[in-house]
Amino acid sequence: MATVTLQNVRKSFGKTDVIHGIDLDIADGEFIVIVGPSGCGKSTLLRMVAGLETVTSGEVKIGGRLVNDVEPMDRDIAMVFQNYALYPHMSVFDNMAYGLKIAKTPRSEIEERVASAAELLQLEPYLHRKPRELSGGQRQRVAMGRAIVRKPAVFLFDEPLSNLDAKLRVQMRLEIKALQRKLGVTALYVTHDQVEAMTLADRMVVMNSGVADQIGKPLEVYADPQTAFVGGFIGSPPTNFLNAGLIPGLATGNTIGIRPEHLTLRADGRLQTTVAYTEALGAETLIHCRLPDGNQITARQDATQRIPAEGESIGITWNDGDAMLFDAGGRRTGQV
Amino acid sequence: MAERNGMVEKRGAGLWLTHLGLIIGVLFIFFPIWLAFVASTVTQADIVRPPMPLLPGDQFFTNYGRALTSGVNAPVATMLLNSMAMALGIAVGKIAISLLSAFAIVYFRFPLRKLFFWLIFLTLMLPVEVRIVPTYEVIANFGMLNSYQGLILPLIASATATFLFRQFFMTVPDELAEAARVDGAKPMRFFFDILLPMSRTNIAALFVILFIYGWNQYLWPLLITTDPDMNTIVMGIKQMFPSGDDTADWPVIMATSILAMVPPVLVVVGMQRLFVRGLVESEK
Amino acid sequence: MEKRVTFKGIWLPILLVLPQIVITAVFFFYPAGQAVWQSLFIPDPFGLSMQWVGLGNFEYLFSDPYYRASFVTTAVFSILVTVVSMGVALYLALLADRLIKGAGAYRTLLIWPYAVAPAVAGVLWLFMFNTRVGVVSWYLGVLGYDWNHVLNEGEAMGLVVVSSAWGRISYNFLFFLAGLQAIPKSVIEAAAIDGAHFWTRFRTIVFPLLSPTTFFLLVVNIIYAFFETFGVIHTITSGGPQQATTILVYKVFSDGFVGQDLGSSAAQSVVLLFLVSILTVVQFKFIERRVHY
Repeated sequence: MATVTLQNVRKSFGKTDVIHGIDLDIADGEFIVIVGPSGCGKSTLLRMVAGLETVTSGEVKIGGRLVNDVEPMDRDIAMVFQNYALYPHMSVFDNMAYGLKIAKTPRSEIEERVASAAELLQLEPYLHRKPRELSGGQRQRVAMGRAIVRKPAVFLFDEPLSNLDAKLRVQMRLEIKALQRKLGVTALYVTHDQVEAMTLADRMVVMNSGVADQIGKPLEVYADPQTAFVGGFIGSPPTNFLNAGLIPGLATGNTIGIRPEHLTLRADGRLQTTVAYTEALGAETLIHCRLPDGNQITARQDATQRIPAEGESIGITWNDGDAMLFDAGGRRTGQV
Repeated sequence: MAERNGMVEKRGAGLWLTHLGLIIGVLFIFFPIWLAFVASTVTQADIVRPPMPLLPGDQFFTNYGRALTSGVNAPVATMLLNSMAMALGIAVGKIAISLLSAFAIVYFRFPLRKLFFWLIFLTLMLPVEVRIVPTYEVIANFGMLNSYQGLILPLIASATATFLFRQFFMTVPDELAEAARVDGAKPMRFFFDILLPMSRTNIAALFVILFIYGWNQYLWPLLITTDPDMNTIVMGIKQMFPSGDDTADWPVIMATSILAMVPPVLVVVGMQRLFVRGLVESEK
Repeated sequence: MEKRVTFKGIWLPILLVLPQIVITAVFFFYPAGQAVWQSLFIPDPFGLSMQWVGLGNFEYLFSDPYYRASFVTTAVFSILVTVVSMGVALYLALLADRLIKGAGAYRTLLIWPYAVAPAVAGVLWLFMFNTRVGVVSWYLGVLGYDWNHVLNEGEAMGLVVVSSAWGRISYNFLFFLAGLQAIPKSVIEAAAIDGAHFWTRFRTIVFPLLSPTTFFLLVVNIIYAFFETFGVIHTITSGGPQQATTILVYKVFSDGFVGQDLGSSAAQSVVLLFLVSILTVVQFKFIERRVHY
């Protein structure tokens, strides 16, 4: 168990800068999720912590020790890969034991550690199978087992659930969280899925084009996004962005963002809209409306409320405190 | 099945014609071998008074025994041994050096890598026949005439196997090497523990192809083995024909021909699936 | 195409490529260089010194009617071997592909002559057509045809062509069958529904879809006929009669080792090197195209 510290970490491939200086302090036992769209540099950042990519400048410290030039195996980390990267010709047991064998761990201890990891992950019946004889979820567990047996200080996860179907993804998400709590190991987890980020993270890092736009607790990030990008990326359906010029008293060029759940439909709203179409999801209903300027805005309401007909003309309103103001560069400048 | 192909598949007379056509093809392929086998089981007298019989005689053990123990110039058993050494040497040697160089070229970045790459791949498909005289001189200067090294080394200087392994290594997911690095595997450990076992099928298929390639060599052993005891069986057969007007010892020559076919045929038939796959894939 | 992931180190990879580099340098580049170098000299009659002749060997070579004839011989031989072996193989593959059951069994029966060395194939056919004891030549005699490939140039060429093609049928059959089986049955069924008969289907659908395989085999078979048939020629005709079956590779051998004419043999090697390079380039272009599919 250890802290992880990134100080002004940068990465360039040739002349292209992909990470523009990231600072991050991870506490012992903390679960950090790095979330962002593909190509934002999140995997590169993780791979720099793993030692699979060199650090162009800045410092990576694990447990207070500078590890910029330390080989992956000596960093006291374990990694779960997106495609699991199981050794196809080895049994489940051998897959988990491989790292320990290289470290010349005594045979009895290897067996003990693999057995306890297998028990934890309910893999005991499969120890002698080959990866190709396992289901996707089981392979995922083996990949985690391989990480667990090393008893690392830090777990690194690179989109570990993206190859699973939706149902399994939810289940494995819960298992990963429970496991991390149980073992108390520091975890760094990369995903493009904001739901995973919200549910797993103690704190999350929202990355955008090689920059950490915001670092914070999931609900804080959700409630108080620091950039328009974060506001748009976190939350589903995404935050509505309106040209501030539509609202009396606000300067054009700025943008206001309002979350769908903060919009209320009322005959006498602040803005007059037309209902384009509605999606009744059971517990809630999404109402997509067209603004006079042609843009679309989405409101979310409880299923108990009346669902307006498509084509109906209706007003829309919100509380001032729920409208977030962003400047032309997408920076948050405050509430309305 | 019949339903699915019913539209196109021939029935009745058409089906029998198809089989007939194939059987004629099979007979055309087999007839020379059958005749050789018959000739290897009859007496010389049966052959020199044409037409020779078309069914096997009772001289099988006599003829094969004679061939194996004394042959014409050298016992065929010795030639079989030489062929085996040459074929195995070429197959194993070529696979070994190709695996190593393909590993280096795919998994490392080092100075002169590009140069080495092109040096190796320039040799692709340039057969030994093209540079035969100077290669002979090199072997002669090294004192490798009439030696296994002389038979083997020049024939493993080719890039086909390297090319195949390179292609295969490129398809191995990057994450496997990364996982191995995280697990603490050094390069050679990764090579032996992960890459080599994963290449098993490719290695086996290539082995079949190279074994046959080595076994069937003719011109090269003809040039560099002047000592009958170093002859390989494929080239040795021709040496059994007498010069001038003497009659050839047909039963022994045909027994030798059959013996020359048995090991590679066994390898091909025994490893048919691997071989077909390897052939079709390696030539892609 | 490059790997994202690599191991560190400089000496280890150099050590790993070294065996292949050394063997390639000693047994490939040095001899190939020597061939080019020697092709520019002629040795004096005592073999003591070499005299620079520039392109003289090549000029001499191409003014030699026997060498020019050998070019024609090689072309005729290669085309015949390729056409015969590919034609028979395609015919058999088409038949086998029509079967639902038994295609595998025929494949097993047809592939193993691949393992028969060209030189051994030569001996087998020589035995059948031997002018004194050959079964086939004897029955031809009964039918009133006097077979003698030792004297008759056309018969000699025919015999080496058939022997060479025979050993190659297996290989071509395998590729044609694999190519045919890769054509989706639905395409052929669609054509059958459209009323196309077998020959029309073959001409308009099967053959075009098979063309990558056919082109590949064409190049490979020509290379085979150029080089690997040495064993057939040497065992059956030794290049005769009157050099009627002396293909280029055979001539390199006979001029270099039998005739001891090193300058000419080296020049011939260079010519062959050039020819094979062209074929390799053609082959590579083809591989490239195929990769882009």
